[in-house]
Amino acid sequence: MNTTLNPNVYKNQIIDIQKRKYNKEFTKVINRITVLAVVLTFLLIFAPVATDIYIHAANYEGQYGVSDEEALGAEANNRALPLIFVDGILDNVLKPTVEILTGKEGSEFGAIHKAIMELDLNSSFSNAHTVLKTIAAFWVLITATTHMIQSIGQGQNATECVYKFFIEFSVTAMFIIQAENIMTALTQLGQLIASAFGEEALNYTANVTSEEILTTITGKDDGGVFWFVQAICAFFIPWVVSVFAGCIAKLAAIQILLEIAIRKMFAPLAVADIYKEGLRSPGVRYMKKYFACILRLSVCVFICLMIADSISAMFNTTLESGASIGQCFDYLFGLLTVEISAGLLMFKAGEFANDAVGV
Amino acid sequence: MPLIQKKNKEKIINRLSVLAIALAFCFIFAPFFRIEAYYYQDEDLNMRDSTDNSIVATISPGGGYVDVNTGEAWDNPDAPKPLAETMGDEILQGVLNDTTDLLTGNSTGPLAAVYTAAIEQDVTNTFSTVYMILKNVGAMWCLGIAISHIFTNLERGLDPMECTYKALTEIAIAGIFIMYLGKMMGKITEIGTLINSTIGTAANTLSTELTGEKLLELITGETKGDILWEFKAVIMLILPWVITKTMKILANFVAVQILFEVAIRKMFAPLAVADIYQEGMRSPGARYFKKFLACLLRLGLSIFICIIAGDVLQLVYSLPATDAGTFFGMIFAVISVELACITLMFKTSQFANDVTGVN
Repeated sequence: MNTTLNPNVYKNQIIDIQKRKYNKEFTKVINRITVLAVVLTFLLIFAPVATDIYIHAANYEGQYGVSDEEALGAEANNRALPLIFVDGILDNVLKPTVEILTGKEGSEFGAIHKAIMELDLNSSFSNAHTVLKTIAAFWVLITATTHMIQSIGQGQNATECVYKFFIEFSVTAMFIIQAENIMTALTQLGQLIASAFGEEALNYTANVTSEEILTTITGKDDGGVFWFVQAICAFFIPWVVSVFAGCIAKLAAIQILLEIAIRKMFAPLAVADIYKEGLRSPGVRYMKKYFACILRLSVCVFICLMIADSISAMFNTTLESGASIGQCFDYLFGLLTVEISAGLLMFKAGEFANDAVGV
Repeated sequence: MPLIQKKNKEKIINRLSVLAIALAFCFIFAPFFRIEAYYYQDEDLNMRDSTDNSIVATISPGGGYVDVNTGEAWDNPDAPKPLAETMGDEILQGVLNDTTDLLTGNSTGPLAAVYTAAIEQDVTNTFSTVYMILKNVGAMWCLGIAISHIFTNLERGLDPMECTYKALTEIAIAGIFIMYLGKMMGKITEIGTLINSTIGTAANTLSTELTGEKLLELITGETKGDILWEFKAVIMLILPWVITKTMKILANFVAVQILFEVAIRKMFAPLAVADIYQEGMRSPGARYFKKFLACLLRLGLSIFICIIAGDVLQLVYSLPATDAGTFFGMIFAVISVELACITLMFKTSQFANDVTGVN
């Protein structure tokens, strides 16, 4: 019997096809409902935020040790999200980066600086550090002995050669033993310069408030849901760019701090040949490079200072004398250009520091 | 329902969804469409130019506005330019004139503040406390080098008195450099800015008969229209406009980085000149001076590139644009020249270093 001609089988196949079609349609409808639900949830979440922002501000304050009760009562809790966006645009690069670079007391970013800079090699990595020191001492012994044998071979006075051997060995050994202290002294010197710059940068206050910028662009500094959505749309991209610029700057800062820790760790090996060529020896060059590395912190803080100075000059007169919306946007994008350029320039800070120290 | 009809229905639904999203977008951004207005109303209802805040038209007693320069009545001053016209103006204006203005210090935009902060103000005076710390570290470093040279020379068997004289001379010369460094760097900056401003005088403002209005007529057949016409015009111009804006951002990045570099090198000079006595013109200190000059020359080179590219663009603009096709061909030629010019600006450090003889 030919099954393809069986009307029941044919009917079943049609039902199957229809079922699959209905399933597809059903999935489509579900997908659309899901998207709608997500949009509605988004609106529901942000609608109360439009009139009375408190979650973000409370968390922000909480990070700095303010209790929730204090934070909830603080004026900052009533800041609208667009205002927080504008605050971020003004501060995202400057303050966190300077805090990392200078290790400001009581700040979460300053803690990163402290964690790396106050690393005690003798306790944290005592075994590895001792191994490095031993290798360095061994290396000095070999080099000094080789020099002594060479000098004796060249016909120099044997007693003089032995004296020279002892001087070479003791001078270098002193550097190896004291390497960490020398590095710490150089670090403190570098930090002194960086914190002097940092103090000026952290004392910077913009000549314009976030409320003024928001009012210029949106017409008011608070409003209903539609104003809120418009304001968020207006400031979202600049805010994202400023967060991005801030990340670049923080990345550069953390790289410098890690480089300092690495150079500090391997210093005993580098100073093993410091006696040989005096100021031109690889050991001194290593120390200069280490100082240049610390100086990079100062260069980066100075770049932040230049950002602050430029922003200050940028907003100095224009907004006070009544800027148009277009002008205000121009200034915001000018500000972002400065922030990103400065963030990228921080990766070049090593070049400037090396030139300054002469390595 | 037949499959074809169903597909058509889906297509219609999709198009309606896109239209709904576009309308929502327009609704959100509608107030910001006024950004394109070159003029804005101040508190006294006078019309001001948004670029320099000057009054361009005053409100007349009988209503309407009167142009302050010509005394003629304005037809409809409240009507902002169509967004497409502003975009056209910006595409035609390009990026070169703005970049030249920024690098020569003639800019009136927000980034003029960067030129003021980096070149016009003396950073060594502004941050004098930190500069003094750097000078002290430089002096200390110079002293350390001199003492180390005394020991090296004594070890070589030189006369102790001679060694002391040499060290004193070394300290004195390096000391003079450190003391008068601010003035020396100031003079080098003056020489650099003189070169740059002299090159800058050769800059010509791009002149073309094409205006945003004519351009709209070329590509759409009309100079003004309803919202659909504006959408059509905006969509036609969006690509060249986005490219122009991106190039502007890139050009600003280069300019801001060069300006910041000048300030950084000026600030950290005291550390670099500490060993200037050591090897004369080959010393790291002398090299630092040359690099500083090279950095200033980068400004001049960038201005020069902009001027040459501007002359090329003038030739392109002199070609007749009779229809949309020739216009877009012309615009993409302009964009190519500008892009080449900006990528070349990134390489100016190489040229400047070659000119001053440092690598």
